[in-house]
Amino acid sequence: MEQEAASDAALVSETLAGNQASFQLLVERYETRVFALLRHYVKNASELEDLAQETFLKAYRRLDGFEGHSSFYTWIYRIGVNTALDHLKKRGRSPIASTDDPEVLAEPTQVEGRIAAPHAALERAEVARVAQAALEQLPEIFRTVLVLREYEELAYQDIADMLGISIGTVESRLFRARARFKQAVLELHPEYGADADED
Amino acid sequence: MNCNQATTLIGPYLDGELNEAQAGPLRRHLLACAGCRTGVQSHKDLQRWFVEAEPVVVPAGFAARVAQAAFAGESRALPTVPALQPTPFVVAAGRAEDRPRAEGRLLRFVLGLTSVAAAATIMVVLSTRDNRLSEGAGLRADERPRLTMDQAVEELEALQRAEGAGIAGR
Repeated sequence: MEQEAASDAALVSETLAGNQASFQLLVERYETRVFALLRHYVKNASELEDLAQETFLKAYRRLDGFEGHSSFYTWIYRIGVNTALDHLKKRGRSPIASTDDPEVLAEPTQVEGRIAAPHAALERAEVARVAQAALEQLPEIFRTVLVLREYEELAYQDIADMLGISIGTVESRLFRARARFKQAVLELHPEYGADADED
Repeated sequence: MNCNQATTLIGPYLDGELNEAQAGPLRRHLLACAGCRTGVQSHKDLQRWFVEAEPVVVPAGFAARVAQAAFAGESRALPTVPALQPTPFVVAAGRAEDRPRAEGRLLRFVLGLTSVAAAATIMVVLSTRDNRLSEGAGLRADERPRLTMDQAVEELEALQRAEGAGIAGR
């Protein structure tokens, strides 16, 4: 079997048997997705690379714990998210992971108005910048489900497996996260409100 | 289905996460409710904000560096292999307070075995002599001088003294 066609499970087995090239292949296979995930948590390029490296090294150290029940990418994503949240915590930003947090638990108040879709004239980079700024306003548990769903397009079941929560919790977190995101965009940029767009 | 229920299902519906049993009633509600149809549009508008600014750029050689670091400096959390345990005898022999007892037992065993072997040899020699068996050339290969009865007894007594207990006393 050619290495390009090797399954993740085969590469994991070969890595466990001491094959460095197989582990390198696993990293190459997922590095883009891991970088894409982590850049929603850190901006600095060297910080991003450090986090990505830490994610893969943690994965290597825990590789014999990967049982193949979930796909490798959800497993590595889970390590990546936890690594990013640990990093933010060390940096002084609380991940607000507890669902006991009343602010996190509170149902979103009815957001005044709605946000319009980004205007066609708006540069893609500007849209991404506004969205990223709004995401950074959110408690981490909401940011994480939004990133996993909206950017990484993971299924609810994968998100649930990755975060160790139920699908129902994924649904309710996403619902609140979207409302909070909308609110954050409107607070940061009232000009993007749908009402402002009309007339 | 009321509007509150519909509102919570719009997201999962657009994400393709509802089965037909859930999606059917929602669709019927949306057909009848202009307010909730606005909610669907609002959700679609929201989703258009989630775009990546630019393609991800992974630094060149990243995977090779990580793999090298993993195999060179980092060690996997291998399942811990229990350290080899010394056998009970070695443990006993290794403990200073038990060592004389263990060595004494071993010495007594070896000396006893040697004594029995020596006695058996003497008995064979004596019985051979008594029966006046012819001594063939093949039986004279041993160039050691044959022990006399006194010498054999002396050797046996020496062994007994070394052991510290006379066989005769047993």
